[in-house]
Amino acid sequence: MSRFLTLATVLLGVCGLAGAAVGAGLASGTETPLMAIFTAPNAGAAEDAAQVADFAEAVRRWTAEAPDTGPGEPLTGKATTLLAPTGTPDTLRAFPTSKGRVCFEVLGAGTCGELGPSSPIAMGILYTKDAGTRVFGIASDDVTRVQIDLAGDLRDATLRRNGFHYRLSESVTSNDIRRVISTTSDGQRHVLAVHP
Amino acid sequence: MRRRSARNPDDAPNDHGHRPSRFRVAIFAAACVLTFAASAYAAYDYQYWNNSSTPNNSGGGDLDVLYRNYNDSCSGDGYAWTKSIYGLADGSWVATLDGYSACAINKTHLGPSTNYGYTYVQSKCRNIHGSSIWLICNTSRP
Repeated sequence: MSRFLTLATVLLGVCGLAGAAVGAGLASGTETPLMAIFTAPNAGAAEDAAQVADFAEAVRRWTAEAPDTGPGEPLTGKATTLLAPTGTPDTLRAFPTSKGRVCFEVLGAGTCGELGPSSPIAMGILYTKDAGTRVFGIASDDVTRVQIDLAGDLRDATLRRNGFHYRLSESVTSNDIRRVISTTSDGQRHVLAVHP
Repeated sequence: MRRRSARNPDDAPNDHGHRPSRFRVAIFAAACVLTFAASAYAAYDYQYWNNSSTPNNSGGGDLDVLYRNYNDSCSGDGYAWTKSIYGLADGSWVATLDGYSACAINKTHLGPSTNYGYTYVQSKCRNIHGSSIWLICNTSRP
């Protein structure tokens, strides 16, 4: 009887450890990117699959080149359109990755970011000869405002559906962007220096 | 006393008078060969420099410049900018993308150059300056 109890106890312990390991493994493969848009009913409704696919290939290449620090496998099934500002040729799309990063693009040009308490936004600055300079990116759920500091003049970016976008006027260039400032719901301002 | 030669009425020594014409031809031929070889090599594989501090949206060459951020160019706080560029032969830039994030994960992608109305071969560049973007690029084109 005592042997049976001992064996049963050991087996229970082993089962418990094994279950914890499996659970941890599952959890690490599905990190949450802090963006509610990917759990919204229309997640995965991104238009222009070709742009998304081309960008996803770049993301896979980055991951292959640096498996430890790379962005991870693109979850293109959740690719979603965040913004399509009127008066611009831009459509801002994003998809999460298996490592909890978020990759985002405009016209197929993009990058990936890792949102967190100290980095509530990730951004890119795109210039094209025909449409000028745009600042665009992703914002975590608790971001309430994104401002572009143009030589001391603060301009509000369009912020909607976890994405933001601001198009510079023709008289202004990317060199005039001093900072990008995001404000979170607790009132904190997070400042990214561009050209201080 | 030097004898005058009928072939050199100007009293120039014979050897000095013939050497310039053959010598010049030889030099010219060698220059042509070298120029041809250099051009052939340059058309196949060449390097160029680009500096982001040049006048806005100018600089570079007629090729796609993909700036890969390497750890040795990161700033002290562990964050850095990465830049991808499509440039034209006149030095203007067709499209650029700047991305900002942690050094180890920072990459940018401009997508096919046809998205911007041009077709160029991809190039790979690396930053060799610590605090700004000085690019040295290697590329091949058909």
